[in-house]
Amino acid sequence: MTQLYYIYLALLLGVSLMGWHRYRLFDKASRVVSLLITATFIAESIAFYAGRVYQNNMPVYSIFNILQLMLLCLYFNYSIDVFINRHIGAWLAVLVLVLGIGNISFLQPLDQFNSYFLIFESVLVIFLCIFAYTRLLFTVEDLRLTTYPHFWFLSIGFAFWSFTLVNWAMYDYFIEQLHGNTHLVNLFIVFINLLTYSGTGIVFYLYPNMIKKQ
Amino acid sequence: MMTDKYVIQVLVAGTSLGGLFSFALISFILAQKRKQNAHYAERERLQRALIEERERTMNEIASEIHDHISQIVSFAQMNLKVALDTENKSEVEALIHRVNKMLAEIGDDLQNMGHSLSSDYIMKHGLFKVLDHELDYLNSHKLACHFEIEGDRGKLGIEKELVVYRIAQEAIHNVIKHSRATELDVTLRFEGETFTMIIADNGIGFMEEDTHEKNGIGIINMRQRAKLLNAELKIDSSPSGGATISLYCPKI
Repeated sequence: MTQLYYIYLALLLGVSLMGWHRYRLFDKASRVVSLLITATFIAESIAFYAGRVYQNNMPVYSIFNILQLMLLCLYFNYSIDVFINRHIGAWLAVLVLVLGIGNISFLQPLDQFNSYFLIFESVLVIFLCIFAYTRLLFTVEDLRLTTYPHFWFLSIGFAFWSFTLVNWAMYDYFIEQLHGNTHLVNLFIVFINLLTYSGTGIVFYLYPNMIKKQ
Repeated sequence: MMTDKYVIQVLVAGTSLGGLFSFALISFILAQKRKQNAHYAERERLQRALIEERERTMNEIASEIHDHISQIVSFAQMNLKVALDTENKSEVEALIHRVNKMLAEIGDDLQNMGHSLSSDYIMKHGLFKVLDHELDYLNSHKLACHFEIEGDRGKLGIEKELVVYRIAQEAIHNVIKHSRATELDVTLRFEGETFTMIIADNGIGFMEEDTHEKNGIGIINMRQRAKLLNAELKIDSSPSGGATISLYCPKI
């Protein structure tokens, strides 16, 4: 598992560096994705260290998940046409911050697995992805989706949160049933993360060619 | 107590379902967008054809005015000048008579041009009358035209009649301009629910592929208009074998 985690961290670092290398070519929404990958790399590294030293990295994930969803809201703010002018994504990010703090303060403290927030995150992201898809379908004319980076960011995000919604939704149940032996579930989640960030890396890598073909 | 095997089964099943759903949705969106893009490209093509068609009509009007009407006007002017300088009364009368004939010709031409361009005129008088009038006009201009209506004169409806007339006009225009034909036959056939229009000439004919290479806007326009009627446009032609354009409308 540790080796797989090293591979995962190396992949995150690689995709993050690729993102910064392409940063000037990116539009605002893609820049947010780049920032999100870097934030994920930093959070996963801290979580890995905290897990080793303090045997509990839940506070890292509890805080990072709020930041992650806020960044995702900002991504949608810049990638969905109707969100840009009304700053809907930014308002959603503020709402996410309030709900995240509320969850930590009243429902699931920092050292506890924040399953409620994760389920909320998955549902919100899936909903926003579907909304973004409909905007792409019904409002933007003559768009080649196969070479449109945001279509792939959306598809990767949609697949990732569809996969993980099931896992996160049942995570507490698994922990309870397996008496804390969540090795398999964690392995599975890392595997899905590997696929997701590899996909994002490929989009970053192909970004200049995709833009040219639009 | 849950076993590891069960955990794997649940995870694999859940992930597979999520994966399948994602894959299905992404494929659906890609397919829909591809359809939309094809539709958009078709619309763009139609708009371009429409603009080209307008431009062509303007050019035709301009060349008709320049080549025909303005020449007759100049000729009439010359005749009037000669008449002013002529003292012989009978010669003046003959010249004025000639000018009068020229002006009548211009009047006819302008009227015909106006009628053939005006949708309102066509809609008001109907396909048969306007087409008959157009062919009568051509008959007086060295092209022997025959117009025939077979079967019971069904009603196509005002809008369809206009589209059919525009197709006929385009075909006739091509005959006059390119075919060097001396005879033109136009047949409208009504058989039950179906309507067919056949326009045949005895000219030099053409190959449809050649018109694509040169300037096939006329044929593209006819095909697009036929599409509006859900009709089929068939072109039979060979070099020196004349040309026949058939419009087959399966349901009136």
